[in-house]
Amino acid sequence: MNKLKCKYIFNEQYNPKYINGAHGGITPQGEIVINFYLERNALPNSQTFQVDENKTAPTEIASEPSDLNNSFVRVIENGVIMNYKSAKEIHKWLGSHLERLEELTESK
Amino acid sequence: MNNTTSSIITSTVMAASFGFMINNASDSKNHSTLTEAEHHTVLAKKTLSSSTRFNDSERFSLEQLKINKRKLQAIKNLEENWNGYNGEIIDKSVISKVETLISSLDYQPQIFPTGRGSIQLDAYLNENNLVEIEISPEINFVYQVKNGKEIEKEVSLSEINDFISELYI
Repeated sequence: MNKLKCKYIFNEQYNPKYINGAHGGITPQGEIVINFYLERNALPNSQTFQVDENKTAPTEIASEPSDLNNSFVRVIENGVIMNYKSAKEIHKWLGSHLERLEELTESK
Repeated sequence: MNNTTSSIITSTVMAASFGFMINNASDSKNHSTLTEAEHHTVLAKKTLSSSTRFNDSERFSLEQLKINKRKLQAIKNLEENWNGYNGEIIDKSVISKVETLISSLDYQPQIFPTGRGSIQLDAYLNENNLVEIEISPEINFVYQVKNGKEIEKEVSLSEINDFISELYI
């Protein structure tokens, strides 16, 4: 029987990232671009607290930037671009694993 | 973009091109009992592929899909007696059914209108291995020859992909 061995080559900095969303679409070249992001609350650059003598906990009186409470961030560290064929293969591959995962969840 | 980011993206694209890996179940040999996550991995590996398939020029061909979509557009314009033998008009519901179906297929078949007002999908490897599927408004009928053995049966739309893909595996 003929055998084929596929070797995987890893970049030294290879380390899978946790993501919870994606941004992208179709490029002008007709390829699919996906930028993976981690969406989370925005953090302040600085916060100012007032310390009252009578109170044990300090009170926040200002923070930078001022629109912090209406903001969130999407941190992008990685993205991929693929052609139609690869996108379909990965779509199918992912779909079959999702189906299996759903079956496993249902059977619990 | 700096070199580091660029190389990370390049390596990610390479991984996407040649296949994704899931956790290796052999790691579980180091433990006396399987954790829930490992149990899932072991079960999943029984039937599912850990990576995408090798490149197959016929599979998921955008060009073939485009050709078939153009054919369907042409079929839409057929008039009564289009073949000179009282050929029926192809119902819009059949065209729409086939349009949805072909987008979900791994391999694109040949598409033909029939005089009965249905659409036939043909996938042919050789005389002993072929599939013909007739799509009508109410029924989908498959005629399959697999290693010389003939099968004829009514099928649901969701089964059609497997009949065609089976030819190429």
